Amino acid sequence: MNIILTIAQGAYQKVIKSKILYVIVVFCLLAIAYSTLYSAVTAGEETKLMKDIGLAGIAVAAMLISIMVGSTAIPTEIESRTIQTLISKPVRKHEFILGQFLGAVYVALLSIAIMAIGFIIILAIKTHALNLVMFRPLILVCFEAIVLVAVSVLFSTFCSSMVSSILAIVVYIAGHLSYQIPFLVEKAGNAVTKFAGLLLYYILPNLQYFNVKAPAAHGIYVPWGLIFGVILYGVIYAAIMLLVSLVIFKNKDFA
Amino acid sequence: MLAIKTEHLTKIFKGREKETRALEDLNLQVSPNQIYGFLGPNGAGKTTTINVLLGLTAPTTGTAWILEKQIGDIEIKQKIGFLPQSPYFYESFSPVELLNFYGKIFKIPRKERCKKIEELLDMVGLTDSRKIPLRKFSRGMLQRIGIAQTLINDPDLVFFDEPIAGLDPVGRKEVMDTILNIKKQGRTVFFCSHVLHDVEMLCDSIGILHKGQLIVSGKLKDLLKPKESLEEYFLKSIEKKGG
Repeated sequence: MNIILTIAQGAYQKVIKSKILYVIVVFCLLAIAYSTLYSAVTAGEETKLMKDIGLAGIAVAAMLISIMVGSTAIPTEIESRTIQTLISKPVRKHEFILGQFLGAVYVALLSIAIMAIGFIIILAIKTHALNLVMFRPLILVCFEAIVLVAVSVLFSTFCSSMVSSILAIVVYIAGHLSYQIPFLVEKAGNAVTKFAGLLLYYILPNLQYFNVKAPAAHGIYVPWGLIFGVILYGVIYAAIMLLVSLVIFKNKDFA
Repeated sequence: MLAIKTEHLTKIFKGREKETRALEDLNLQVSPNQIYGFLGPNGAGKTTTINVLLGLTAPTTGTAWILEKQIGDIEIKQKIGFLPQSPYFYESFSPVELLNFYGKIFKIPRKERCKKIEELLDMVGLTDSRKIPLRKFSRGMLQRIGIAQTLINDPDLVFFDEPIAGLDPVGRKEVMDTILNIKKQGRTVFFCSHVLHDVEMLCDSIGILHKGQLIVSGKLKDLLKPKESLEEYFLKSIEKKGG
């Protein structure tokens, strides 16, 4: 475990000095702050609009950061050959993968935490109240980020960082639409199309589970039972992605 | 006890159109407490040999032992150090951060790790640059911090892949002095190089690899005739094998 944490710390230290990370976080916070100016044109609705923009902004920024750090963690080690020195030390391949994954998750969660705190503060200034209920959808944003890091890490075990990023973005978009697949499958006449559709439905992460931003912004109560269920789904999905990554990475050469 | 032993080691890289036999039935024996120079023209298979020994790539057939343990055993890695060709490290790290990172990988206790880091920085002459990010380092400085990281775990066997290539004369002298110093500490150095003049000054024994095959191996003083330089001997050996 010590080695995994050391590699995670190294991965975190390597990424945390990246300027693009700060640009995304600052841009998101500026977007939330900017949304406060809309009060003049949306009388009475300004708080709801702020919550909408804030939660959506954080979710998009979290997606970009998760995919960026998840897709680059392993390829940069391979491309810069730093992996050769690391693997020549008493580091097993699964420790390397898990360390890189945890480092990327740490960066993603830290960024979400900074944006979330900024969002809650801006919201508190505007509404003169602490909207702690907003943390519930943000918890699910965190777990969606963990799933996206795991998916990106999986792609990066056999693709370049650029291709992994593109594939992970495709999975993100498809994952938010995949809940519609069963309805489409019902209408399909062909058995092969039905099978392919259902296969895709079960392979893709159902990221819409993690999206409770709209009800939360409209003041609809999001029960803890639902949140815990989605967290469990996210953890299991990420674990399967990591397991597949380990199998692919096990026989990889670094010559 | 042998520091390194390989038996019928073969490595074939399979491409889309053709396969490359990087190592061909390599049988190598390296005794401990010496500097062993592993020589050969470009593409001879020197780096592949190191990569197989370190577990960076799997052999196609054959096997090898390092310090009496078969390759693949993670315990071996506790006792070896490795400086790759043109070493790359995390550019944003300082020398202290880099050595601390590798020290943690070896689970060296904090107090001992801090002491070791100071000793190594002093040994490679980087004490004054201890907090400068590695991206600001010259090639020679990177090579020196690379050597320092190979020694963080007090290894019995150290692999250097082209440690003096591309260095200016001052850098070369510094690195060579450090390698001699490592041997004085009772460690075995396995050393790949093209710079034959420096190899002649440093090494006790050599092996010459040509097209993946070991064509010569032995003590330098036994191999060279009086007044014969290593360069002359090397060229003669390669020509004899139709190189």
